[in-house]
Amino acid sequence: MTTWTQQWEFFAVSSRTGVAEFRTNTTWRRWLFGWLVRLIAQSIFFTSLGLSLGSKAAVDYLAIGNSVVLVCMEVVAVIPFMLNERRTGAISLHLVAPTSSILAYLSRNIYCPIMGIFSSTFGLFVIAEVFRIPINETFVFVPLLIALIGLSVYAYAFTVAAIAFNLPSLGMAALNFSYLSIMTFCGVDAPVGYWPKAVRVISDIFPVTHGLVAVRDLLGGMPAGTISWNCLLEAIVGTGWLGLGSAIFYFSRYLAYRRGNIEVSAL
Amino acid sequence: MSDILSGVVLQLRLFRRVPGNLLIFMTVPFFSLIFLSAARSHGDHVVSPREILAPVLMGFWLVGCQIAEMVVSYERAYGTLEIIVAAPARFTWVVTGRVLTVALLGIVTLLEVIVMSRVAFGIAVTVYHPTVFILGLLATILASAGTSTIMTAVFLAVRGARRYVNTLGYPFYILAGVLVPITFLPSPLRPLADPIYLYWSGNVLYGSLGRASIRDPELSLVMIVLLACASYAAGNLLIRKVIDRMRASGEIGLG
Repeated sequence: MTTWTQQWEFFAVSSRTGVAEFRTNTTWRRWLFGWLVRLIAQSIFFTSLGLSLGSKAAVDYLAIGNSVVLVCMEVVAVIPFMLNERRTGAISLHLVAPTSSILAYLSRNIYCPIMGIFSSTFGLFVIAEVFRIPINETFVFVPLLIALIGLSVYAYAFTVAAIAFNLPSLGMAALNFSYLSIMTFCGVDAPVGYWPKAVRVISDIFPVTHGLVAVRDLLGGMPAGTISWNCLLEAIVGTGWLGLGSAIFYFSRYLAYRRGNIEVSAL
Repeated sequence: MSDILSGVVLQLRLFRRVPGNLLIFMTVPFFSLIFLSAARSHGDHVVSPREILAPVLMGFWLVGCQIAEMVVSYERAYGTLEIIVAAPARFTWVVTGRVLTVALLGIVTLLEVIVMSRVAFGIAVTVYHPTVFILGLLATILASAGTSTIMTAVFLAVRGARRYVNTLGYPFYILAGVLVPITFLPSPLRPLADPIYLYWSGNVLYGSLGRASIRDPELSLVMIVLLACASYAAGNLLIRKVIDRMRASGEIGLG
């Protein structure tokens, strides 16, 4: 049993490995002019729908939703990253190591939600400028809420990766399905209340839904109590996904052990 | 002709063996849900043909990008690009067969959108100008294949270009007025729609769903076909040049 200090050291080393891997796979320039431009263009594209709807309120709603959801785009990228561990053969090393493989997965890609906080906040700032949406001083708290949403989505993405653990070729499909479900049903473009009750129940247990309401409330000058309540709900949702993801991960790992194909890049 | 057919057969087999390549067809219904729910939930806006059919044009663009990626990046990764280039069948004809197959599959996105509009929103898609619509669709398939050809050439020529292809989609959708008319764009940006086939395709396809007569359908159809021919010719020329250069330098599989 490793001590907390060792766990922390392991977390630090693993997260540094993730950053090093990111820096090997891309450059800051490529990230900035390739990926970030793509994210902001996506926000502008969806927000512009508000213009043709002829409603200032719709523009504001779409602008906030489609900027905040950028953190989700950054974070769900961990699904193929995690599944890639199996394809590259690193998975067996993770599993035989004395440290927790879940901690390894989560710390290795922790840079994704951190970058997501930047992309999302910067995106919101740019979109507000493009669509002339006034920003007040509460904007300084937005990154905190986005961080909470990012972590919640991170736990959800971990669960999806755990489900797809034995089907790594479906990594990209899982990624697309994960973020498009959030974009569609979690109040990004249409309020959750628009959907039938059965869909609303699912939206409530998905990440982003409550955190996004908190961001809208914050920028709309709502009382701190309302904002905190939605933050708490987002945190509960995230914790739930983490628990579910851990359970599924252990089960998927058990199945792979039983079949003896942990070294094999399954299809 | 047999080389083109080989490309068609190869592509169909690839789709059958690796269903993950059909991923785009999973994303289109979501775009439909997003656009229509947003249009319906904000105020009393009447859903427009643009919001209904935008995912179809996005689908054509996405399949166009994906096939270029499959032809170059996947083949490079599997180490089969050298074999394809060395084979007696002409590479450009095989590519033509593959891109045409994928572009034709773009029609599936139209079916998806029709079903999603009906089932989830009770919207019956009615085509008031069927001839223009069908001609527009056929021209769009050609243009999508042309775009794929030019992208294949760019992927072959420029190392790492595919990393940026993901970036191109949304700016092109915005500039071509795929979801929102270009009249909402700042005026200096509007002429940039002209060389993008999606803009002209939108004009005929969106217009076909309205009762009113379509503005200059002939011009739009001619423009789509011209852009298709131009991108196909330029793409083929570039592919040949790049392949010749890579044969000489021995670096086909690298990149």
